[in-house]
Amino acid sequence: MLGRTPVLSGVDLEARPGRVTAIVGPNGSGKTTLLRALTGEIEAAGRITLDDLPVGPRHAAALASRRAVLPQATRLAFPFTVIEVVRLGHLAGPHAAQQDLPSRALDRVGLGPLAHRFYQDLSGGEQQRAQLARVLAQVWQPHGSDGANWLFLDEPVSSLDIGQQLAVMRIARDFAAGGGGVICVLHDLNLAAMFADAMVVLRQGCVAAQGVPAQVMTSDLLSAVYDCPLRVSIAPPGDVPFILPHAAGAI
Amino acid sequence: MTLTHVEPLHAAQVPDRRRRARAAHLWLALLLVVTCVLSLETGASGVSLIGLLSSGAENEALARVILWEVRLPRIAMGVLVGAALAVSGAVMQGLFRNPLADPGIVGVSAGAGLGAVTAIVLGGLLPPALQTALGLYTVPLAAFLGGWASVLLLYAVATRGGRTSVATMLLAGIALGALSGAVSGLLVYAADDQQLRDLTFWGLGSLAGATWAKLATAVPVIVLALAGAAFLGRGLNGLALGEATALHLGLNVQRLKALAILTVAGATGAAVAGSGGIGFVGIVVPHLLRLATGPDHGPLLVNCALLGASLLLGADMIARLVIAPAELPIGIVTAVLGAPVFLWILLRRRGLVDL
Repeated sequence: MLGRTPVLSGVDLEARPGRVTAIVGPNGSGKTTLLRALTGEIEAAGRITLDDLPVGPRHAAALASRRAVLPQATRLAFPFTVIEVVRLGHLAGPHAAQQDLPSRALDRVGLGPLAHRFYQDLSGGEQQRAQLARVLAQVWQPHGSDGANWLFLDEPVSSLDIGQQLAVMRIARDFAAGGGGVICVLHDLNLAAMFADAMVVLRQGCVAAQGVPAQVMTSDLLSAVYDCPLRVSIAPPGDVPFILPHAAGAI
Repeated sequence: MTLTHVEPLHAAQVPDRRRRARAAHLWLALLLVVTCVLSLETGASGVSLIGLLSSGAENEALARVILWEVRLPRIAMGVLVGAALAVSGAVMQGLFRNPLADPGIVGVSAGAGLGAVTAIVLGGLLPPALQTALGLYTVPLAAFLGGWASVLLLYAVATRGGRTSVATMLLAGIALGALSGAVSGLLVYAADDQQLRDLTFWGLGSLAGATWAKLATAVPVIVLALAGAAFLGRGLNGLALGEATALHLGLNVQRLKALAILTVAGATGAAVAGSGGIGFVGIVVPHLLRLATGPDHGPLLVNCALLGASLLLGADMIARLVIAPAELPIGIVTAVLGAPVFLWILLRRRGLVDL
């Protein structure tokens, strides 16, 4: 709860391992707040569990070995280099003995050549990918001894160009394909439709719809949620719905 | 206009600093040993350990007293206080996620000073049983409590939702320092002659008053605080990524912050009680070490303790030699050395402080 009005109410959400679950919705609909509640960062009345493990500060250590969280943007207080930032995640995870993991995580996000640069000197998009590498270094395997591992990503592609957006979303999808769980706040409905196995649409702090993209991405629902006329189409071969602002019509 | 070639602004490549940071432990320990020996050899009286050992000089008894009762406790106090000041600076900077946080600058030393002055002036009002129980520990304990209250207050004012505002921290620190100073000033008016003598001696900010007895009261607190700091390395690294991310890295953030605050208060309180307010060690030492060996708090805190001790001993030698046989308050020396460094950090990182 922020201030006196609850940001979220009556949200009942289940995300399963092996899937990318995308949280979408208009600005201010509570996407980030939901993610922060799911990660135990803010207190929520209700029950949030990861498998059987209650989510909250008291279980931070147990949670850290199975779950990593990527915030929207991270400002660093001290002049760490990129690889040093990735190592901070690496040391918190269960694979701390694997010395080469930080470099591999950086290669995975395409930042290998920048490993020894200062984090502060990177562009916004590069910083975002460096943080993704930190998150991957913490929870490298989609599956651990206790079951599926999880990635929680808050707008992981917000400052990236289109090629990098696709690359990052593929990393998320691969993690899910390996048996891990991914919960991802996304602004871009088309990326969500392309990569998510399940979508949760928020509107004013309530779940307006959830289900597979083909169910959720309908003209009526999205027009109502985003409060403007929108028309959903289907990309040529197959069943991935997409939305073009042009098609909204000059109404 | 055609741009043919633009150099990237700060494309600095930094080699792996982990080994360098650990190698620094050895070099700084060596430096400390050398500084200790030099410090033992210098002084107004011209007595030296080598002289004592080689000649069996006529004034052997006097030389023994000077070395054993004057210089050695002073060196030990310098080592402890220097280590405490540098470590409390580094821990505070980690806690506030801000390279400008220093107990001296943001009023924590002043708060500890207020505690010490209160104990000196009003200590007599405590129940006699408590007075005897506390004994010599009254002043260090009060300084610790004053420092602790100051850090807690400052943290509450300057930090909202896990983010520290640099401007609020510095300004609140100024107000806090001024208030503590004013109340300390008021208490001086209430002091009697003996207390005034204690206050003057203490307030100079000098290692000159170091005795074995005084040292005995400072040792436990500083050793505890330094031991506490040894557990903070990983936590402060996590905190550098923000409070939320520290939590997701599996850290118990509340306990981490409480331990960091206790460490700062303990180290600052004991240092202030032992030698008065000595500024800038806590900002210069961590900053130089971060430049040289990186910001990883694990090795940084150890290196801070070693270099802080050497630096304070060095400053004390300067204080003793510049106008010998008289001596300068050491706070003047550290301020002359440290204030320019503080301004330099401020100018280099102006973006961080812009309101």
